[in-house]
Amino acid sequence: MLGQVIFVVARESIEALLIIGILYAWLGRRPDAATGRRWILGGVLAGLGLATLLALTLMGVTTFLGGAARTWFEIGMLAVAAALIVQMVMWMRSHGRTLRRDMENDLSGHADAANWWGVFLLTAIAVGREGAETVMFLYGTFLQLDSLGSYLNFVVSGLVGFALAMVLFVALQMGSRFISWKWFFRVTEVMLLLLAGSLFLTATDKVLNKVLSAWNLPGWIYATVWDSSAFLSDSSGLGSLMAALFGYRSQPIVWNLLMYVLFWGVVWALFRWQKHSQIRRVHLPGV
Amino acid sequence: MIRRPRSKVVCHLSLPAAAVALVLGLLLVLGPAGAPALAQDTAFTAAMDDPAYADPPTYLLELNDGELLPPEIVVPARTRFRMLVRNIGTKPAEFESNQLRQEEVLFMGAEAEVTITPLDPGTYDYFDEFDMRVMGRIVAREGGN
Repeated sequence: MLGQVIFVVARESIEALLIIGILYAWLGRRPDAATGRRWILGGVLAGLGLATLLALTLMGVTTFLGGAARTWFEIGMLAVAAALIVQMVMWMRSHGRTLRRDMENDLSGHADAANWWGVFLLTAIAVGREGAETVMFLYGTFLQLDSLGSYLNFVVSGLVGFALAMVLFVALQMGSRFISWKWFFRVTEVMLLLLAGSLFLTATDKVLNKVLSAWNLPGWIYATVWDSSAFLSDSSGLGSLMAALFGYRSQPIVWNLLMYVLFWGVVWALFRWQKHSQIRRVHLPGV
Repeated sequence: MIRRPRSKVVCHLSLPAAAVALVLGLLLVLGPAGAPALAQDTAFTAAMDDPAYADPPTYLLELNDGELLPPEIVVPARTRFRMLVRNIGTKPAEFESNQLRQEEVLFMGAEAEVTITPLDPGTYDYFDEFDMRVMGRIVAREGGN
């Protein structure tokens, strides 16, 4: 078996499967679950198309996204994915508690149509972004194969890697069934927001390294805030997984911290705004 | 008009607040970054001798199927520099470092230029994410320039 293939496929699929797994489990609770699952499936297929297209640019086959354009496209994908995750969590919050009443209310239909597009786009970006690297890696490895045995080995290793990542997906589906809905919702909400924060951190890293790198910003922006690499290095297997899923950094700089505080500040403000507008909507007719 | 119980508000606040508290807590527990003791005779790595890569100084890093050439680069602290990362191996590679805030996927024969923002004195790891057997490191230390 090709350990490297197993590892890369598992590692690159896990982020997308976390997002899709939570959406899938959540939608399963809704009366319109079948519709939602079709949108997710559509998103996965579109994401595979996007992954192939991006992989072609990475391999230099096509140059439809060259240099600066690719940087902005990457930043855009990360930022949009982070924003969509936050929006999904807000959608879940507003509907999760009052599901039945909302479904009987025709007014929620319009808002849902927009949210289906959100589900579709989020799934497509999640699959496309990490998928591009997987496609490029698999294609490059594939080119080195020379015998029937090695092809077989390659395919089996890829499937084993994907199956390992699917364990997370299956665990999420079982969790949604066997853990109380309230707890499942709370835990996955935190996981989604941490993941969105991690994507936002990566996006702002790219802004600092690729867009602002021509200038010397004030020195304190680059100052290391702490060094926990001896405790858990984000270059280790576990550390780098923590970095991808939860935004862990073992040597963050002031810029990272500012961006992280900005992210949670915006999330907090949005939730507050949502809560207030909901209270108004519920109570105004009775006044 | 019915008001929601106050405890609900606290519950809503707790999520972002917990995250911030976690970060601050980590900060307290781990303390500020201390510069690790480095041998004073560590020589700075020579930057590329190429006018096209003179400003800022550029260091060449070659990835060869999991092998990192060189595995250690010593640079002046608090100074912006560039790395020219080249994949000379037979398989795709991904130059990655969370500590340097970099990730760059490279097909066979591909190369990429990355800018590293000024680093405080310390050690920063980098590796090939598609082949993580070897860990490379950048050592930033005072006394450059």
